[in-house]
Amino acid sequence: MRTSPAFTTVTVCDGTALRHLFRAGVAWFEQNVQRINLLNVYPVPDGDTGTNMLHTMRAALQAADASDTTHAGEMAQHLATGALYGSRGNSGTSFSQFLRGFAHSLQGKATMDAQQMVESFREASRFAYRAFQEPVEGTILTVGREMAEEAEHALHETSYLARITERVLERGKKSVAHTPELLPILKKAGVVDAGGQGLVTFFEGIVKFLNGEKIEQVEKMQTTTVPRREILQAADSRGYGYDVQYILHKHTNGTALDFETIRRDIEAMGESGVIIGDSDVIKVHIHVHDPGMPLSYGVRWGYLTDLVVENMQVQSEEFTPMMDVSAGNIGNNREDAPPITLEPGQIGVVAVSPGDGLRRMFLNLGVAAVVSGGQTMNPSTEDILNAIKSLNTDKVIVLPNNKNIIRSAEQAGELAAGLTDSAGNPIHVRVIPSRTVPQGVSAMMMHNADGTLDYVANMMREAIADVMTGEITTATRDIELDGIDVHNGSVIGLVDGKLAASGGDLNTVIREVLNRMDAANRELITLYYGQEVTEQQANALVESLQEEYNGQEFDVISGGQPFYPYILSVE
Amino acid sequence: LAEIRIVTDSCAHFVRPTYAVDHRISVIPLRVQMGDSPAILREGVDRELDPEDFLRRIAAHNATTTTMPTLLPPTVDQFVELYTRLSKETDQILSIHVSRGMHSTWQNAKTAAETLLGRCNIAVLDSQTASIGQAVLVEHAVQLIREGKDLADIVRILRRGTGGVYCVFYVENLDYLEHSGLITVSQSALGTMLGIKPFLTIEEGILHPMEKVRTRSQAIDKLVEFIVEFGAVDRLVILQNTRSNTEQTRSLQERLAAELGGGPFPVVVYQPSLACFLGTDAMGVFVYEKAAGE
Repeated sequence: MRTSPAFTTVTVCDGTALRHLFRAGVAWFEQNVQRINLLNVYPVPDGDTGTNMLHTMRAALQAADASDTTHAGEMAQHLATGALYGSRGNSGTSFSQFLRGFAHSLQGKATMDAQQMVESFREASRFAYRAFQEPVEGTILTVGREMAEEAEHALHETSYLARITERVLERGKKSVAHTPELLPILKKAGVVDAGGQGLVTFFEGIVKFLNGEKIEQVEKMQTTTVPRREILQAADSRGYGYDVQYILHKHTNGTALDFETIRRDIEAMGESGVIIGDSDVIKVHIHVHDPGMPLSYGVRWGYLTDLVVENMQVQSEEFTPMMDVSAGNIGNNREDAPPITLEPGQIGVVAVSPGDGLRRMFLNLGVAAVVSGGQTMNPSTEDILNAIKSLNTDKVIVLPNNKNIIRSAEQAGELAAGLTDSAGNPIHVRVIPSRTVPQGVSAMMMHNADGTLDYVANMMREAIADVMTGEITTATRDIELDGIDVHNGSVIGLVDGKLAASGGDLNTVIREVLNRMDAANRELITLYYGQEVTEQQANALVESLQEEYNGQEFDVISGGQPFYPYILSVE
Repeated sequence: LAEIRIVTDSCAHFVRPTYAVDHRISVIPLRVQMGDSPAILREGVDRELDPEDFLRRIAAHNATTTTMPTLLPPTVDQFVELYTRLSKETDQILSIHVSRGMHSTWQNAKTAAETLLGRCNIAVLDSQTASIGQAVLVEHAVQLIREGKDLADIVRILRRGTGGVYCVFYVENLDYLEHSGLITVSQSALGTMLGIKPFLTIEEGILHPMEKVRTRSQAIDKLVEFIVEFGAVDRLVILQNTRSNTEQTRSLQERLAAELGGGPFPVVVYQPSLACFLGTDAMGVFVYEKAAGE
């Protein structure tokens, strides 16, 4: 039996310790990320809270690992900066704001004692609240705030960091359990807030580490190593390689597993090794370039179960939004004409687009740079920031086109505000809170590259109201919402983000959605069909719709978006 | 001193067709070349350039470089000939032309005027606008001459006065503007995927694409919005592409009557010279704002 050292009586912590604690939190979070994703309350495919937070945490850790400082304040600043740039989605940006506040309070402090930790938690919560114009209770904000409050109470009892953190965690759990009382939609869905749960899960990992507990769930295993190296280290030049996980069991009546040898051998094969266990069973988790190596090695010792092999390069690419300022296929097709070239001082637009067809369409509308992402994969703050920086101008407008990306876009705007363009002029960014693709299109109607930034931004902001959006997708959970009974897997329709139709086939739902949008009294119906719909199917649908809507014009656009067979707009 | 004589080009669009003749204004014809056909027609002279017929004829072809009309300026010689003829009656000419930011007519006039240096005082003025706006400027000049202002004063006043004329058009596509070189290829491709109708305006003599709309009713909304922004509308002229009133024009008239009172406002078919820029499906308005204190 081996145990990790416990840190239950530690009263002060430096930068190195801070990084270890953070790493433990991320490791535990990583193991629970799917559980958090399942708490997605709205029944539509959307950016998963757990995945978004994990990407944010990974970015923080990566920044921290690039530094060898032992200074607590400096380390906190590395974590905060990494998280800020890498943050995705609303939960990710909230988490990054907690870290910002935490780091702000630790500025210039080489170490953190209990008093300081309490103060830093309070700052963390303050910053997170400050980031939202209208903070919503029953979310990660509430959970973080109550955890910070608990830290203050705990200070009366103890100055052991572990004990305080433990109490903070306990309070966090209660706070999360209480979120459905504050946010009715959670109660309806029968879940707790995903972001709040994410924060608590992160602290769970920290407390486990402080108590010398194993980070693995399997009870009979003993942890012998804390993550020795980087858990989620970035790629070397060969890319991310493969993520290999398995549980190695001793053959019945076979020789006992030589844990230390096995750990050493497997760790030597790659990066981010987490190898834990005993002489009967060993859990292996390693990042390698040849997944065959750790597998072949394992079967020499015993038999394998719970195998997971994932191509991290592909995963990474899925989450590495393309920032593509070229429309490609420049040729005789006018729709693929090169994107506009901005003169310095003109207003450039950055738009987030969830599909390739939509990307081409936004370029065709005069968007200067498109960040791919949206619906289920939210781009990071840094992705948006890079797009802003790629423009040859000091005036930029960002169209997030998704409610879960607005905050990231604003954060990117704040980061860009400290920068200058190639001519040395300070960059000004305005974010138009477009929540859907049609809202982004509507805003583009008001774009004028030669106008004044605030005037054009205001016009674009107002134009969002000119269009109604319908979205057709498949429900991801059972719930009764907005008076509509939804079943997991059934076709659902939303109008301006609110559930409007459910059940029946695609045609029935689309008709109901158009009806809700009062399409019969409008002039133009636009259908953006998704990647799972063929052009023929879309045209056939329009043909049948034209029988009912014979007074309307139809526009059919290949959007190429995932998960949403149709996005509709009427105007 | 002899009376100041006014010269303009056929791009100037007088709402009252006899205005130029009545006021002894010399209108030099712009020339239109149809696609790659060698024939060159003179606006206001050749019957083939009757505005409505012209629009119908170019609409019958797909807009390609082999069919789209090209607007040519009067040649320098044509200007010299006109100025020489006028110089026998006067030693002061005010020559007002379509914006040099849009066309080369002003340049040819300027070159021609230099050849008469010392024989006749010719002021070549860039109207910084076109069509109705250009005509409004000419009418203003007539007024100033009547008031007895001298040429230098008139030029000074008119340079200031161009700020009072505003226009906005929407077009169904930007092919013609691209063909006439007024916008870039990439600008003209904007919005083609969604059938966008771009709005255009002339500012400081240059044609600018501005906002865009997707439906005709939104286009009318935008026109109304543009017009009611002016507190003091002195004159307003609607341009369309046929003689008979279109549904959009009727709807615009109704909306303007409700917003501004008065009306109906004059409606004209835009001339071939403007059609060479805007194409066959444009609609728009010129607004002349009453300057403060005027």
